Amino acid sequence: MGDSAAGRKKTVFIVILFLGLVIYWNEVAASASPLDQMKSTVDEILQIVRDENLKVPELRDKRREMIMKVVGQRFNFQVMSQLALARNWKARTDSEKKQFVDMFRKILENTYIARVENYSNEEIIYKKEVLKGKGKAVVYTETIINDTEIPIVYRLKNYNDQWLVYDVIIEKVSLIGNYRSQFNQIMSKEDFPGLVKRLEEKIQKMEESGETDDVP
Amino acid sequence: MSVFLWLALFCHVLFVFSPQVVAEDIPSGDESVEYDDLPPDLDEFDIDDMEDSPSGWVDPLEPVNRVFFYINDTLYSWVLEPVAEGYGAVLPKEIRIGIRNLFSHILTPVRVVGSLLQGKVTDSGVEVTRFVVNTFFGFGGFFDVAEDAFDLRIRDEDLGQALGYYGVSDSIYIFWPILGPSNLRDTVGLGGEFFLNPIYYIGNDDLLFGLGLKSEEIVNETSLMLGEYDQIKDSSLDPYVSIRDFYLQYRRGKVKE
Repeated sequence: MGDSAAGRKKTVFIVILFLGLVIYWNEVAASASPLDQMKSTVDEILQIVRDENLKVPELRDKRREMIMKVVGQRFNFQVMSQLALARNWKARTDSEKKQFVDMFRKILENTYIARVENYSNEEIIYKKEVLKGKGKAVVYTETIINDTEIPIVYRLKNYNDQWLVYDVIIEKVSLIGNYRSQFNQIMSKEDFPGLVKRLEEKIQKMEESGETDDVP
Repeated sequence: MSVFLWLALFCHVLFVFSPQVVAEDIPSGDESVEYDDLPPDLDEFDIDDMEDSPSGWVDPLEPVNRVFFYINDTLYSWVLEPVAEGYGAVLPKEIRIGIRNLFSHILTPVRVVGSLLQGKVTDSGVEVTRFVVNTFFGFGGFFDVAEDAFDLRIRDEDLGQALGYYGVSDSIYIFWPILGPSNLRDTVGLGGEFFLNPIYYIGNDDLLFGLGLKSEEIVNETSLMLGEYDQIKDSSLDPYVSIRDFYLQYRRGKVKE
């Protein structure tokens, strides 16, 4: 009898072990690594950018919309805006915050599209990812332009198994940090209405120039 | 026996249900850590005492700097950019990259001394090796064989970084006419580098020769990064502040490296 009791225990153990493994692997599969998620987003964007059929002027808006949609799923514009406005964020009313996020998002999207267009023929190398704890990660990539390696690093934060970008570091320069210093200087002289005015002008200018030379 | 069984089971369950095991500081993949010199994580600051601009950053010369910035900006779009465009249209990219390699090759002494001053003996060794390899196998420095064949990347060190290493602050931003963004520390470094530049010893009696060479270097370099400057300018609300912050962050990253 003792033998069969031990045998039963062994069976139970193996079953639990097996179940555990299944659960564990499902978990791993569901929460793809930040690098994998970043890569799939960039691949998706490059696929749109490189699609010759979409490079006609009539499809310009559709193409932009497609890129923006993919970008919007990976970039956390809310947090980016908050970090860029820094201590000036708290003093804003809810509608001001929303207005600012919408405008900053447009600036970033237009900047991103202009960059991606330039990089469309370049290879992107995914170097490594570093998990930082507190649900944060850093993904290191590199593109080679004219024989020079340009390191592009993404800072990401995990929200329900989705890794979302909150800062991009190009050649050691934090993009959001760069905007922070600009916003701060403008805020200190012209306050929020002045900043809004400047953002509006910039967006208008970006969208005008995008219409003429966005499609190569 | 059953004690071990339950212990094993317990550990196993613990392992399976603890995702934080994965979320530690585990670098995966390439661990050479040559890029671990990132600017501070903006998300790590408490929103109440978030620094607006990096600490110790002062721009007392802003009014003068802005004037020079405006002049340079105009010179760039009216002179340098069109010249570099024409230059790039005539010379194939491969040749321009080779010319850039040559200019960089000549400045090896700056990088060797810059590395040594920071105690980076290996890096200075790499630079010496690169110099020998590229001189003999890269047609006097035209080809970067050292990197292409032996993966010996350039060690971008200079005297400004060496001063930074010794704690010299990067405060007081200076926007020089023609030369562009700098600060007091890097300007001093640049002055020292003048004497580490072999061209100074070859052509010091011929100012025109030196100027011609410098212009060629600038035009060649610009032809390889056309559009970069415009992109920074187009995406910023205050290009002067953006370039200033860009320079500051970039140099801080270099010093940290």
